[in-house]
Amino acid sequence: MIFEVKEGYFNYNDSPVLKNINIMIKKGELMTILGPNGVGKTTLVKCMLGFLKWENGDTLINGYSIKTFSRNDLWKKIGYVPQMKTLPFSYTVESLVLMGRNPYINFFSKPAKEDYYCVDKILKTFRLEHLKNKPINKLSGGEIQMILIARALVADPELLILDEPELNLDLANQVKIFEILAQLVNSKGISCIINTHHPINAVRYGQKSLLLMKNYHYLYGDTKDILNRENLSKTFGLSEEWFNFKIS
Amino acid sequence: MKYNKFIRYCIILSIVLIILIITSLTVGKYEISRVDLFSLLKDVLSNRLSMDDTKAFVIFSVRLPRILMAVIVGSGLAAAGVGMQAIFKNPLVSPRILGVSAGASFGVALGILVCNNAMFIQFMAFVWGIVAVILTYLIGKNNKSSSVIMLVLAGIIVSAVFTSLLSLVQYSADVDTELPSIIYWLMGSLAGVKMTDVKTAFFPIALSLVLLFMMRWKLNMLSLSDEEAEALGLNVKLYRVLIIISSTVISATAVSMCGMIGWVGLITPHIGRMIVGTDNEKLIPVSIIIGGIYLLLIDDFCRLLYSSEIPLSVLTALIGAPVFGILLKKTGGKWI
Repeated sequence: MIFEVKEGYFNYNDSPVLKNINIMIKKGELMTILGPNGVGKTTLVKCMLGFLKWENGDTLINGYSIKTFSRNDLWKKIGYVPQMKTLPFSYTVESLVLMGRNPYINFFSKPAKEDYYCVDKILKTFRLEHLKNKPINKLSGGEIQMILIARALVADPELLILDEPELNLDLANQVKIFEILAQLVNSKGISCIINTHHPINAVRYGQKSLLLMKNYHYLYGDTKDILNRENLSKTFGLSEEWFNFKIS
Repeated sequence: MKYNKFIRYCIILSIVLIILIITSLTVGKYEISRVDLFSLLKDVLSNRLSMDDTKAFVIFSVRLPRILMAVIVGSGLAAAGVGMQAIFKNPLVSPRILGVSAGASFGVALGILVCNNAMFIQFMAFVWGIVAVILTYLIGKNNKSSSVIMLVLAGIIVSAVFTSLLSLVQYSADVDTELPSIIYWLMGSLAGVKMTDVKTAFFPIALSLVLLFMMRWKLNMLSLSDEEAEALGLNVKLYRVLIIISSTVISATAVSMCGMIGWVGLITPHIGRMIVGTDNEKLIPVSIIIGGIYLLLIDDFCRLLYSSEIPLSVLTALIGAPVFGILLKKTGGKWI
């Protein structure tokens, strides 16, 4: 699958937020989006997925506008992993992951045996079967993030979009999440778009990067070209020496 | 929760409900033993029943309609409560959050003032309950931002307006005749419910219940954030409107038939969660049964506790609140 944004413009209350965004990601690529707070990363993700309407331009899947896809067809292709937060009702892990099967379940229906089977399968691949009947609000941050990824994957998507998956996670859990994502990209050919605050994760795991800067500038291309000291220091307003640090 | 276990709970609760219905038929000021009841039922089956018999009259024209109404309204309010708590993503919500009760109460008062006819009052209560929710929806919808909070605020506004209007109507009502009648109606009672009332209430409530029942699994996703639900392929707006419509129809019908009944829609979903957990697929059926049991039980107390009838709304809260308090204290609310 080829996922594209073509000439995307977005205004918020008449002041521009995103200008002329052009990105393309192919099957089996991992792309990271970086940039300072308030520069429009989350807005970009929302526009890409159609939660917010592009002022101009469009999001395309294999050359077709996402508006031409039916709700169910679209969300069978794209899995979205939102930022982690506490739920008002503490569903069990099984119930939560089962929700990911919704694009396959009709308007007035409920999950069938096959859907439960898919949930079991995905929990097994993630080695999370033991959590199946646990309430979600009792799990650790790392476990919840894994469950949210599992929920997105249970619909068998070709593209995964994650909004700051490392939020509130310790280093080991961040690595675990990114290792899993990298493995999905490599072995299953799933594409990933990840909104992140950590250049290290982006450099280590990403092929493509989008660097959003103030005043509607952005850089997009291969990670090794984009995420260099010069660009990062310019984007985040840090000195180039800051990026020299080494841990003894 | 395993599926078999869930089925077992449903069966047990249904049996409790049936036993409660049979018991409710026999208890009351006019004594009817269980033996009498079964011989009467036999007469019904063999078509030999005569309504001239006092016992038959008490059971089939006085108690049965009242019991059926309690079960229908209780079940309806419970399911409406589950639906509202899901779409507002908040376990503290009850069906009246959108102003339906306030609107319907105003309708009752206005109806009594205009023309003191039971059918007309029921009609006014239903219509004004619906009008209130439509107003809430129109005020709350007209914004790009998080529409659930907008709806809650709009509901508060509309409730406030209709509560004031109710006071205005009460103030201008005749102190000796109309005012007491408004107040008694709003306190709620199932006394004097006739079979025709049951028939009138049955269709709107049953239809809404069927709708809520069919959407029960989808409620799980509606309680997530809107974007999260959209990204699961859910048509959030459409489901939300359908749930608001069915809850509103149920609540408006309930007020029009038996006055303001608080607490059923708030606490029965919680009792359900204690038994089957938070999954709405199981919670809706269980809450429907529990709602019926709860309101029927409370109505039995209304009939029996004191030499004259106690208003329904007094006991739903007076019994419901402490019971809920004890459960909350004992479990620490960990079922949510």
